[in-house]
Amino acid sequence: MKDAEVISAKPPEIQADLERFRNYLRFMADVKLDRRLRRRIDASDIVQETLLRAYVAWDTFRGDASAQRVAWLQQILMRTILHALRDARCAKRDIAREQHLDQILDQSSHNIEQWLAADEQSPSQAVERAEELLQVADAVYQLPEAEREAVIGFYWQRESLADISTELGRSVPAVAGLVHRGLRRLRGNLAAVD
Amino acid sequence: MDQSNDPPRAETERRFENAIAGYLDDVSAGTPDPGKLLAAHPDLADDLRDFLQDHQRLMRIADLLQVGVSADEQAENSTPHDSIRDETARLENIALGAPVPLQNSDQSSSPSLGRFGDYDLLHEIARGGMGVVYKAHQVSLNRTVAIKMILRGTLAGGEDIERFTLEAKAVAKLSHPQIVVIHDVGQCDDQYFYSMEYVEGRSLAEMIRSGPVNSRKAAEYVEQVARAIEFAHQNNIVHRDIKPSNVLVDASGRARVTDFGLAKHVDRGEELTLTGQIIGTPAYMAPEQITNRRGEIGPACDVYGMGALLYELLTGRTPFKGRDQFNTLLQVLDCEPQSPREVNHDVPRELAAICLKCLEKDPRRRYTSAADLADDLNRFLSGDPISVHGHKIVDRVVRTLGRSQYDREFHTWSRIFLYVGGISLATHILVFLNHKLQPPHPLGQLIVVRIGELIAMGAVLWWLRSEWYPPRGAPTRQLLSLWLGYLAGSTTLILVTYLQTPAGQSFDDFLAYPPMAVLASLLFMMLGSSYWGYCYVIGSIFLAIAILTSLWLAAAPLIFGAAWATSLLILSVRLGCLAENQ
Repeated sequence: MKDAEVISAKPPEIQADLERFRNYLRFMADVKLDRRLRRRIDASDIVQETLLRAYVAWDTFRGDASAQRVAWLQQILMRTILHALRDARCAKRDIAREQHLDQILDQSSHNIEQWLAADEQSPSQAVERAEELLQVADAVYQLPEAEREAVIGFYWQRESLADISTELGRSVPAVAGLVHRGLRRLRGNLAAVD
Repeated sequence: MDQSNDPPRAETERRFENAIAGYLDDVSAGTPDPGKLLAAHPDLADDLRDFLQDHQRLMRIADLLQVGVSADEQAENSTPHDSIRDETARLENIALGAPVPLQNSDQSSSPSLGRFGDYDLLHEIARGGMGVVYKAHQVSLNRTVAIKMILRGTLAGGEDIERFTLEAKAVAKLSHPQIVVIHDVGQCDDQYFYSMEYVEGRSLAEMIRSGPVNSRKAAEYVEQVARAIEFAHQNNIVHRDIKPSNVLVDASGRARVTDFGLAKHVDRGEELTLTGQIIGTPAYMAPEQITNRRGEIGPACDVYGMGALLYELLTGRTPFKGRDQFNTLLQVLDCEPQSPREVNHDVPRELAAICLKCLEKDPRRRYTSAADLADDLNRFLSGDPISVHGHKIVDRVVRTLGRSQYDREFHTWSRIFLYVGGISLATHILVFLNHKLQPPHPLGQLIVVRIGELIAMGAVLWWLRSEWYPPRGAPTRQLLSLWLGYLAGSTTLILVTYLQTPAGQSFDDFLAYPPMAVLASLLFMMLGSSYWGYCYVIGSIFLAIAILTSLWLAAAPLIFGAAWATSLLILSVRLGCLAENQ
């Protein structure tokens, strides 16, 4: 009955409970945000802001299942990302260099708006298999950064090795090696999930 | 990346990475071929196998656990779903240690998922509970079967396996046209499974999803299920998990019962209750299954389950549905179900009555056996009168009388009632003697007796305060206030009688008794509606006593005192019995 405890928690406990979701939100932000935007938008800042908003709005959440909570946080995260994208769009500095990024920003904004619209039309009452998602996120975030980037990039963002290698600045076989080692590390952690 | 000083090792690693890179590129292109990979690097086979296993697992996880990806994005970016399935299938073969068929150039000819012992796995039918169910082809006997197995990698140890084999053993004994036949039980490598008859058709759960089912059809299905369950009961097997997803309807429209996963051998008393956990699906569980009273779990549970099944077929929803599982359980225990007729106006009256009879909280009030239920459904379908409707008014009266609530809150009151009953009797006897013996100050002594009564009751309540204080909730508070109200009322009544005595006449306190009996009657009527139906009977008796005492005033205190004492004695004994049964 952990969820019942979450609802009636006092502030410090709310914070502790929110921490549970940090990895998952980070995970989602990493998946949703195009890697090329990394320089402009920092995923961990986004997550921090999301958690703050969630903390403030904690009492307005109507629902008591962990899965619903995840869906709620997802929404907040997406909105936060959207705002960040819009801010980045507005703050133009070097016009020549930013042209390319603008396109990506627009594309990403568009995708996220679509996601939010779809979510509102058929409100996801609960994220399916939320608990498992949280476990996966926790496991993935224990990986060293490079391996994590490679694994998320290949399996969740469905990028090709070539794309990942350009973005990470490593050779293709090196990226394959990262994937391999990442998978190996995840082996133990993910045995419990499916 | 660790640069080993050993050149051959670095060379091997480089080859390995290149091999993987090539494979992953194939995955991105949608044409992964694990067979080719393994064939090309036989010396790296073991490491490659490990990698493939890890890769497959993550592909499956990423596929199942999409992180907030919308359908459009998925279509744009990802590899076609089918190829993931195929790849998974091929990799499963590798995992199972079976020989890997080389990739067919024609991808559309969907091959089997791979060999599993004597079986060719064709595709997944269902996934849930603790197992996956596949459609398979049994090679040796050349027939189609369904195979249920526990997912690899989640072999939870002894308990799950025990449940699994118990299920298979129990059902294997049953041979009935409406029960899905179990063919074989066993394990292949370390994969536990059993094979059963393959039933082509939908489960009732799927049918319900497209809306409530036609009433007659629903009755037919449940009748068939009831006959099957009756057969199981005769073989001392209780299903315990009857729900729409466990009933399949085959091509000829016959219902087939499956998944005796929680079957219990009634005769051998084997019970598989994981400590602290409740097995079963809450929305379909009978109240006694939830409270787990030993000795009460039996065929009646299945009757309840069939009632819930019928209910859902008729209305499209379960009889009870709470915010979460726990809430649903509470509702099953406390709330009366809404009549199916109220939810769906097309449901015939008799069918609704049958349904509600199955859903009675008290197992003894349901159909005694699955056969009785089947017979009643049969009668309904033939247009004959059913058993439930026979004596409508009498039935309602009996129901009302038998209804009781808040038993749990009041079972500690047994002793209190007993002592208060004794005090009450003593008081009225004293009042009677007071009159008889003509003491010098009758009024004064009367007052003394009355005050004595109040003090004595107060003392009993104080002495036994641990049993009722602090009041556990509204029922206790209500009872206390009713009682206080009665005491205040009866005392005032005596005073009023005194004041109303015409001048010159002596005060006859016995005159207060008839009105007091009416007051007592009112008290019991109130108790009747809230706590125990039979209190209405007691209330009526007190009305009769009011009339009796006004006709026979001389004996009023004795009659009244005896009635009170008896009533409280009855309540005390009843609560005492309830307490023992807790």
